[in-house]
Amino acid sequence: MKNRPEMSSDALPGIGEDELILHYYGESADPGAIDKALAADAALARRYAALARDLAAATVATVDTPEPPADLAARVWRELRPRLAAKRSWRDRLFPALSGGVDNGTGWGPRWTVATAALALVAALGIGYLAGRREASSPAPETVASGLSAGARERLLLASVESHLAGSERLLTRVTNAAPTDATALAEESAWAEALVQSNRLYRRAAERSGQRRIVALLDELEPLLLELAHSEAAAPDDLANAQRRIENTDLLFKLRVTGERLQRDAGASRSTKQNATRSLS
Amino acid sequence: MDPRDLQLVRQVLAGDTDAFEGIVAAHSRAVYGLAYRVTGNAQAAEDAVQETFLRAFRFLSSFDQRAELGTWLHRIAVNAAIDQGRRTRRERAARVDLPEEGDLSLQEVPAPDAGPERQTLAAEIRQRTEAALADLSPSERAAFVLRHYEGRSIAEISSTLGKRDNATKQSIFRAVRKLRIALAPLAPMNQESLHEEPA
Repeated sequence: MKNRPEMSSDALPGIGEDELILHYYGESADPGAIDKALAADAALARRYAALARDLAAATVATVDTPEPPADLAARVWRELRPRLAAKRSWRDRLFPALSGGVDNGTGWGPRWTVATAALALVAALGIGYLAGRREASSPAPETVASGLSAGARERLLLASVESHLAGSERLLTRVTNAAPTDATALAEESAWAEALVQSNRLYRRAAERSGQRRIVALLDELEPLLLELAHSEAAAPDDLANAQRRIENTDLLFKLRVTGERLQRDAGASRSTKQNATRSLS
Repeated sequence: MDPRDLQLVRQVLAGDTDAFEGIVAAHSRAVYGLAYRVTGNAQAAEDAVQETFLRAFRFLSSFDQRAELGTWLHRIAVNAAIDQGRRTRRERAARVDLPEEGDLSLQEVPAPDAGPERQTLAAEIRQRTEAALADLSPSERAAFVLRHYEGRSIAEISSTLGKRDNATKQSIFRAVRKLRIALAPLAPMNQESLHEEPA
C-alpha cells in the first residue's frame, strides 16, 4: 500500500483525482478555485505534486517514435495506387463529364483494368473460340484468328485467372481482418468487389470454353460472395459479420490460395516445357 | 491551407489520381509518427498509414479546402490507428505469440528494484509507461496520447474520436490511473531523481 498512488480525496470532497488531472492539463472548469485549494491544503498539494510527478515522468520517458522506413511514402503509394482506382465509381469512369471529373489521361485506373483486362482477354479468346468452331471440320490449325496458338491461349487464360484469384484473395483477406466495429470496411471495398464481379464472369465464361471445369466451379462459388460485397455500399452492422462468417464457412480463402498456387505451378511447368522444347529444336 | 497541398487536392479532385502521391509523400511521416504512438507497434502503424490515405482519398471530396489538410489527415489517422490497434489486439488474442519486432507493447517489465541510477530509472519508467499504455483499450490510449503527448484539447479529441467530452475525459482518467499504478513501485526513486514539481 505504501507505493500505491493516492487516488481519491476522502479528506477533500469535491476535489478528487479527476479534477486534479483536468487541472494538470489546463482543462479544469474552475482553475482559480483549484489553485486556491492547493495553496490552502498541504495534503491536496502533495497529492497534486505526486500526480504531476508521475505524468512528468511519463513525458520524460516519452514513447520514442522510431524513424519510419526511409521508403515509407513510396511503399505506401505502391500499395495504395491500385486500390485508389477502385474507389472511383463506375459512373465517374463511364461518364466523367457528368461528375465533373476528368481522368488522368487514360480514364482507366489500374483496378478498373482488372475488368478491362478480363474483357480484352475474353475478346481474344472469344475470337479464337469462334474461329476454332468454324475450322472444326477442316484440319485443325494450331493458330486461330486471334493470332494465338491454343497453348498460348490456355496459358494466357490460366495466368489471368491466377491473377484474378490473387486479387479476390486480397479482398477477402481484408474483409476477414476488418474489425467488427469497422462499419466502413465493406462499403470501402464495394467498388473493388464490383470490378472483380465483372472479371469473374468474364473469366468464368473463358474457362468454361476452355473446359477448365475446376476453375469454373471455383468461380461459380466465388461470384455470390463478390456480389454480396459489391452491393454493400450501405452495409448494415451485421453485414460484415455475415460476410466474415460466410468466408470462413466456405473455406473460400483456402480454396483461392490452393488453386492460385496450382495455377502458378502449372504455368511454371508449362514455361519450362516450352523452353526445353525450344532448346531441343535449336 | 498550404498552397502545395491545395494544388494537389484540386488535381486529385479533378481526376488526377497520381497527384495523390504528392499528398502521401508530404504527410506520410507525420501520420506514421501519430499512428505509432496510438498503436505502439511499427507494423500496425504502417498499416494505419495505408488505411489513413485510403480513407482520405475516398472522402477527399468532402474535405473543406479552407481547412488544413494535415489537421484533417490527423483526425483520420487517429481513427485508422485505433482500428489497427483493435485488429492487432484481436489477432494477438487469437494466437499465443511472442512479441513482434518493433513492438512496444509487450516488453518485459523489469523488477522495481532494478537499480538506483537515473538512466536505469528512466528506462524502467519508459518500460512501465509503455506497458501501461499497452494495457489500455485502443480508444483510451488514443485519448491519452492525444492529450498528453500531442497536447490536444479534450474538445478536439472528442471531435476527432466522435465522442462526448465526458467520455473522452473518462478515457483519460482511466489511462492516468493505470499509468500511475504502473509507476507506483518507482515512486520513491522517481521523487528523488526527477525532481519534478507541479507548475
